[in-house]
Amino acid sequence: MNPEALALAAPASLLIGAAVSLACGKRSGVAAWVAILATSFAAVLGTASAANVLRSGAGWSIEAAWSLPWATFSVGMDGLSAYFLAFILALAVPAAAYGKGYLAHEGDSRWAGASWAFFQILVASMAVVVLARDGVLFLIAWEGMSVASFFLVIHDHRRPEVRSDALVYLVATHLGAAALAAMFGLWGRGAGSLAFAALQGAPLSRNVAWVLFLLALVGFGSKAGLAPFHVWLPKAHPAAPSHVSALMSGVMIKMGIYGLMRFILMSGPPPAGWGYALLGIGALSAVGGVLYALAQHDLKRLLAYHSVENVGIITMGLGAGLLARTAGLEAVAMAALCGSLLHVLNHGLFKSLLFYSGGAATQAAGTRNMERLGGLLRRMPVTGAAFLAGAAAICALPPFNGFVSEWLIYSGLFNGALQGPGAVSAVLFVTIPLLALVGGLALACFAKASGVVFLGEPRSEEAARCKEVSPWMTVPMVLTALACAGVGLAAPWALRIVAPAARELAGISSNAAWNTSLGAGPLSAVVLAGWMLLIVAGIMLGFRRLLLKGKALSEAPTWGCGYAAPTARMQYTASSFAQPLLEPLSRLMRPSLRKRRPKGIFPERASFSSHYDDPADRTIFDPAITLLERLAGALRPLQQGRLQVYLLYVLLTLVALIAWEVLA
Amino acid sequence: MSSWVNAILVAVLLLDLLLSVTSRLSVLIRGFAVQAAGIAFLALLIEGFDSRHAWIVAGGTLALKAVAIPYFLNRAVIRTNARRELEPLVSYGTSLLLAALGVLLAFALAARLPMEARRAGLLIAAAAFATMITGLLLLVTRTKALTEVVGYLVLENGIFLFGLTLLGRMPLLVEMGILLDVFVGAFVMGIVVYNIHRTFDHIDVSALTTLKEDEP
Repeated sequence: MNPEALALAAPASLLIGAAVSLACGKRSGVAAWVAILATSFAAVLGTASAANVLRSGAGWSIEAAWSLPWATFSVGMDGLSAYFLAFILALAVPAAAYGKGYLAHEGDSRWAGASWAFFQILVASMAVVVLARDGVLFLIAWEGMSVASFFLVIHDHRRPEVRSDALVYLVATHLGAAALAAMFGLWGRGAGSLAFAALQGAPLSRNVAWVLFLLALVGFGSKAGLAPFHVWLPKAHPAAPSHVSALMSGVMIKMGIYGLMRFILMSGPPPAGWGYALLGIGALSAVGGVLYALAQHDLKRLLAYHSVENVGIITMGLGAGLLARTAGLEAVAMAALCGSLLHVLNHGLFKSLLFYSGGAATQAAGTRNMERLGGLLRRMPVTGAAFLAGAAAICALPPFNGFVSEWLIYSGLFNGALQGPGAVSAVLFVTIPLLALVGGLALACFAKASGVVFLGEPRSEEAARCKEVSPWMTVPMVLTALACAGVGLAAPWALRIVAPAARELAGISSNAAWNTSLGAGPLSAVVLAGWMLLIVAGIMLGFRRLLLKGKALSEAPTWGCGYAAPTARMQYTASSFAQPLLEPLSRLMRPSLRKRRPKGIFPERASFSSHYDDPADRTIFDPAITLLERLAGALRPLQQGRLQVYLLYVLLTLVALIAWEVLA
Repeated sequence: MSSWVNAILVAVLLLDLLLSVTSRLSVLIRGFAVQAAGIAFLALLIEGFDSRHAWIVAGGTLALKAVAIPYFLNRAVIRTNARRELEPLVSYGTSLLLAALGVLLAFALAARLPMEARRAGLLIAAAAFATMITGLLLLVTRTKALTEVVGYLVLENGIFLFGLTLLGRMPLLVEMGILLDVFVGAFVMGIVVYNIHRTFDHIDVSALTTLKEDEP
């Protein structure tokens, strides 16, 4: 089959799978099997098609007439689409398999078939989003993605907090979609058509280009979770089942990144201002995301804030790449853009891994509150090891994949700062310590998360009773963890997947020059260090085994420093671990603390609780929603519930219109 | 012929005023039936007695709106024992005044219509608008379900009357479709009214407000 047919067959097979899953109705197991098979089939087709484009470097596009107004059915693939298509479909497969295990305890519910159908619709519409070459088709697929993911988030719809969190997501995603519709409308009015080819050629004045960019930043940024449009992430991700959180956080929010990149490709050579704007908003998201992640007690909410952080890092790489491009530094631009694109894949992998393992832990313990978990590594060894691997990857520790992409972004920032002209150099020099700060705080945050959840003693009965989850859940975890290590250890090869897309974004045709100076050349040395680390670790393990050979091993409880009756509650908690880092920032983060200090020689009761409100909620969205509610409340008297009154409105409108016609 | 047309149109206008002021349901239904019969006759007068199209439309209107529907409504009146509209939302005097204002507005509007729509004269368009406004007025100001039904039917009379100015050009199928809609609508509403009565012992629509969302 030709690549065009392969690429279109992928979403088509997913939609067929969705219909079959829906027809399964209550039979949850069958519906899940259908989803797994359809997703795997689509992944094979889609990656084959993408591989063809990535290998040959020649994109394609086809166009067909469509009965919708202002629309043509245009689809196409270039390096960017090929990379994202392969990324979406490859990561959907483990999510589907994990989901089968995760939902197994629910048994056959009425919702099962529909839930799996929405899962496949979500994957299919994401695939269409990256293939679309027409504004209308793009928006339809975008909307399908938003609505399908909304229904997945509201899976546990019997819990009221899930319903309200899902509603926040629905509103947020539609505000973003409204900005995108406005962007396409404004752009298409100038171009005379909504086909991407026509938009690409449309001449844009400076001001119009800026308005389009800001609309794209709001629309795509709210999907990607860039601050301050990230408010839905920490609500929707904890509410959703974990395989959906993994798919949404790992894959779906990257559609916002794809949208920004597509926008930049279509709007021609970007002005330097866009680079500064992206760098700034990326740094804000990265620092803000990691700080608020540190403050969370809810494991899945913590992971959601880390998505904000990582999307920020990706956007910083994109911004730095565009700045280097405007400054004429091709090799630097390539390094930053390759880092940014590779971080998309890497974040998808390790965030999926973290949601799989974190979700397994919280499901087994029945709570997402880290203060009630602990000691799970001994009870759930595979899950615990997978979480640790994911934590190492997200903290950018070698030999995992996060290290490679952040290394590339650092390389872009450093070389840009050294080689760039004055202003660019100054801004990039400020960005480097910010990124370093983010890395350090992320390390602290995952030391806290993995330490509190997986080490120590269980802090509750439920945590003490946890058992390892089923192979449906552990196998996807292990495979994703291996993929994390694999990308880190074979980075020069992974670079070849992202290079075509980065070349398109950097506006250059050949990557020979940069590859030796900043690309695969130095990267192989870095990867070699990762291999060395593995080898050294292997030797040390072997040496340990040799030394212990033939000696008796005994296990004993940790020395309790003389306490007669230590309890699990005497351990470091998540809050106390983060406190030294957050205390100096309390002016900035404004925690709401409630404490009752112990009094007297024999204190009876003492308590402490802390809560950190998201500043975007506090300063932007809550006041806006209050205002909206007050305005809407003013209209409430119009709803009288009486037929006559409603008819009176019709009559009055009619009479007013007639009077206007008569008097005008 | 024109004097006949004008006479019927004046009768239609006067019936509008009668409908807006009467409190007795039987008078309301009879007034509507007479108005419908007049309009059916008007269709023949305007289109000419040799047009097969006009005969079908006039015959259908007469059979359904002047005979069948009033028959059903009368039966509903007898069964539900609701002979008078006792609690209108505005008094009958005000109602009459509003209807008269509506007639004024209708004439003002008719005078501004494009020539195309005034093919059959100024009066017919004015009568059409006045009848529509009267129908809406009945819908808004009365509380008995039966009066509401008559309000819809009077509104439809006005629409039909306006359609007459375009009769030659309106396809027969559309006319028949509208008539059928009205008939089925009235039939269903008759049954609903009877069932409301059986369930609640009255047919007061203003009591049907449970669907309103409560204050939070």
